[in-house]
Amino acid sequence: MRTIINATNKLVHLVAAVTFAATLAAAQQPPPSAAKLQTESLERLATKASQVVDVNIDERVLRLVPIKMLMESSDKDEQIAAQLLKELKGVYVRSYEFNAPGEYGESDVSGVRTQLRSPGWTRIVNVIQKKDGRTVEVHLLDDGAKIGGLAVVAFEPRRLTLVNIVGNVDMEKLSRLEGRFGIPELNIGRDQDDENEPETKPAKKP
Amino acid sequence: MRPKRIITSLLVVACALFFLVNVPAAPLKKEAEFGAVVKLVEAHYRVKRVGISTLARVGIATAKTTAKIISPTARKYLRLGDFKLAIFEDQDFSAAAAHEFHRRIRETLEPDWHPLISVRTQDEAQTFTYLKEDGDKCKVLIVFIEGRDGGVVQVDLKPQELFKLLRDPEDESRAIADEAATAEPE
Repeated sequence: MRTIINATNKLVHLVAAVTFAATLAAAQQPPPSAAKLQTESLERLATKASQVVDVNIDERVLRLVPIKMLMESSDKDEQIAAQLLKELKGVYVRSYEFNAPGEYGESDVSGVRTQLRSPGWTRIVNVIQKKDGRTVEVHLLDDGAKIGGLAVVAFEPRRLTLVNIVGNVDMEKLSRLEGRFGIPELNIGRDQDDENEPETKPAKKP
Repeated sequence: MRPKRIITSLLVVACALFFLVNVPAAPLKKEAEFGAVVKLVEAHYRVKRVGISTLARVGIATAKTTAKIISPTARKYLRLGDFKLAIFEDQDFSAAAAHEFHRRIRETLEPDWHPLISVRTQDEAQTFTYLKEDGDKCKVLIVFIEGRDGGVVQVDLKPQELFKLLRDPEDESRAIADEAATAEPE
């Protein structure tokens, strides 16, 4: 009887150890970053839009890029791009273009807005161009110690663009990333006749 | 109950628990590749790809064909590695919904393949580019439809070429598809 109890005890411990090790291994998978916005709520716009562009460059893909080799490249543009990529963990772009103004509304972006109101996110730029009805917001995720990511939401009468960059990125790097990696030209604060200039201080949340 | 039996039962339980926790469901699914996507295009839009014999018969100068008959000389000038290509010419792609096609592509390729870029327009033009790591190379699968023509290309890209694709995903996807489609046949 004692042999049975001993054997059972040993095996219960073994089962517990195996389960614990397996759970630990599973837990080592990196958790989804708060800097990566969940954009599933925007998908319903895809059926209404006349053009939809989705770009997903995540950390797994960035790891495949030979950064070291590119940084030694004689091509200046390759060097700059490699330098930028080195500090990034992901680039995600969603762009929806519509046939007519008013085909999307504030409610369509409420899911993204909720995430941008969560702790750590701050709106650092808000450009309103009344002339052409364009509003561009730049939000930064900063935990005090380091920048975790950035989000740009550009509202235009016939177009909605969301750019989400995960990693150490600031306004200066953002301007250098424009036109690369699927990020459109955002022209933030470059127009002379803007009604509102970009905010230099963190803006109050909408 | 005998001790041996208890031990066996517990070992079975331990193994079952280990696999339950560690083995993700996805890899059990057979990895979808080029062939599966070509079949999907055919099934969704009820279209037919151009056969190799047909291409040879009509004497098409551009190689709308597969990698197997691309000559070594031609391949030397390609920046792409091995590739597979299927072309759909003068077919009706307007009969089925594009967003539904996108959903079916996602179901077929993800999560084994990583979606890099998708571009869909109302006039039925579509480009879907997927990536997959393959040792020191990267496999790229591009599905493109424009008007009455379309195609599926799967190529092996060297890391430097992958960088070019990431730097300009939309234009470079198109360039890769064009390059594969215009390679000279043997």
